[in-house]
Amino acid sequence: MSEPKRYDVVIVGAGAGGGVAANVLTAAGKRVLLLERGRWLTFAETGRDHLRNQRMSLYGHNAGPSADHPRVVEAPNGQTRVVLPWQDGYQANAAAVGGGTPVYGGQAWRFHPKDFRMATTYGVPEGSSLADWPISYDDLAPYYEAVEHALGVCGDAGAMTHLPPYRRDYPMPPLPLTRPGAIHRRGAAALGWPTLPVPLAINSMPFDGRPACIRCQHCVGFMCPVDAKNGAHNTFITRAIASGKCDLVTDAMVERVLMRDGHATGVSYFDANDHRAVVEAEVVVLAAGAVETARLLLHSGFTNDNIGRNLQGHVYVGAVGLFEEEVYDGLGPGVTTATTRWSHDNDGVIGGGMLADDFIVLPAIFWKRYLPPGAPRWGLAAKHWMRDHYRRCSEIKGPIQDIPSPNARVTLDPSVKDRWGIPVARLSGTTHPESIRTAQFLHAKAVEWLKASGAIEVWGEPPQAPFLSGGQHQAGTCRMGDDPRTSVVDPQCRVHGTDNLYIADGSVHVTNGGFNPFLTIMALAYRTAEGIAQRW
Amino acid sequence: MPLTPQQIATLNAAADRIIPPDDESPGAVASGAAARLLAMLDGDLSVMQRDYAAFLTQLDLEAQVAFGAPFAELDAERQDALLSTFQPSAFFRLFAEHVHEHFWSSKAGMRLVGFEVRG
Repeated sequence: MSEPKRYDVVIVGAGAGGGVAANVLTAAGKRVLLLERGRWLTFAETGRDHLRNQRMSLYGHNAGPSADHPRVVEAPNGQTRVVLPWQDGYQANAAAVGGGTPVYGGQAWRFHPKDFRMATTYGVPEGSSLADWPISYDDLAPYYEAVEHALGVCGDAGAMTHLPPYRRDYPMPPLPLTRPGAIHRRGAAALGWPTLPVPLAINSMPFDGRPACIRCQHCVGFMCPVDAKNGAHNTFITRAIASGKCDLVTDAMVERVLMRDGHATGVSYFDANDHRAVVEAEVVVLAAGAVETARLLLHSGFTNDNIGRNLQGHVYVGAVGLFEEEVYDGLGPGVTTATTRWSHDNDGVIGGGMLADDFIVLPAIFWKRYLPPGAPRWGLAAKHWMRDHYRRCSEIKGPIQDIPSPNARVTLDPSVKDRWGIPVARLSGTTHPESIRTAQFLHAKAVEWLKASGAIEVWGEPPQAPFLSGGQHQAGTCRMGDDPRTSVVDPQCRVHGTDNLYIADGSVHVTNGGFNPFLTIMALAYRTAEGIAQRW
Repeated sequence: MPLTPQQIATLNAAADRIIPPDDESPGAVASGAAARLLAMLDGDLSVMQRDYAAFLTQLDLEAQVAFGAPFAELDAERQDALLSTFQPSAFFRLFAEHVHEHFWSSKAGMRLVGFEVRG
């Protein structure tokens, strides 16, 4: 083995958090190595396969991870099964330069101030690990703002009345309203519910040298054909590399964080040719996602019992409304209108969630997930049902804020290893039952909204029993806190008991908000990287 | 074992009853959905090839018993009558889902519901 290369900072994972950290650290003059197990993606290569994408991955993913990355899922009865990334229970997020962001929908939500104070606001239900964050919305607000402007978010700050006033409006106005969006705004108005344009990391006008959205129908799950969707890959990472101070190595599977006396000296990884390499650094930042970051820490010998616990994503609720007239107008991305009326302060349940209209639903997804009970499943009747209903349906959906459980957990599987010989992640446990009660509450609100919007029939059931959430919104496995007995990282997102090992992904979220989490991941990574640049 | 020509004929005929052609639009075969499903039985769905072979052979056997001819040679009404008897079976429902997945992700399926691709 040749002499190890040396950097100021090595970052594991070029996703939402790792990409931001690379940009902030190189801007501060640091020499950065960014290691990513996936590759650069292109629109031409990832395409528009309706059966193989992160929205519906029946037979694989267009954006990774590959079959080289199995996991083990443990059922409540203790039975285990090995799953591939596109199979049930895997909790997949894309594995590519940019992480999930090249193919995400880009809902750029700030968390609610009360999302940082869940235990204080609601108390802690028995069996739950619900807790306050050690930092507040106010601590994060300047970083939210920085990311909104550096990434490129369209929206209307004046409409975000559930948040303290913004210092600066979004850099771009919202995308124009769609036909379903207008219908749902009228419906909400009839109920007296405030609505707002969903903030999106999508160009509503030319921005940062890239064009405006062409309103295509394939947004979430796919790359943008004109590069008008803003992710870590085409903003933060591009800028980090352009600085000349960041090396990006793709197809790099990190094996271990190398530690000496509470000090991280670097990492070992397998390169594209499966050769093991060691890289040394002053500071190590983990940003591999909530499942893989926990796995990496455990495989590196960390024994804090909190590592891997409190895995959470979002329990989603949704209902479909059938309208008298056609509501489909084919104008993407499709999500336009949300209400945060039910995010908090709901009688009898803990927390709540945001509700919004949806991205344009692909016909194949509509068939698989949107049909009412009793709809014909084959023959001309089924074919004609689709023909006559697809354009008359609209969905209201949203994520509830999961109530975390310490038993929802990532551990190392004792026997199954990946092709590099690293034990795979084993996933077990479920979200806390209170999450299901909140989901049922929010589902009733989705139904109410659709009816007020004029739907003549509404269908779709809320979840009935706790399950493990994670997936693209995975978070919580290395939660932030002051006390090493109940958390993994300190309020600077530095791993307890180390002086130079940091985490910059959703793992550190104490709770995951009732919103899509990527903007919070990016804002926190910005703050963490700024802290690293100041300290080191 | 790849499917036999007769099993393939049965699959095509049955797929065209799951999504029948009509005046307005092609069915599973003419849309290419059945061909893509067949290709997947040599690829992503190869683990199911044996189950498919058994299902298609069974369908043909029932056709012979009930009507004295292979499934593919029956008229649509008789094919539908036979398929209805299979409706409670989990494998029939899975087969129907496979056909639907490929039809609704085909150009013909998208056109039928008015999903027009831009960009």
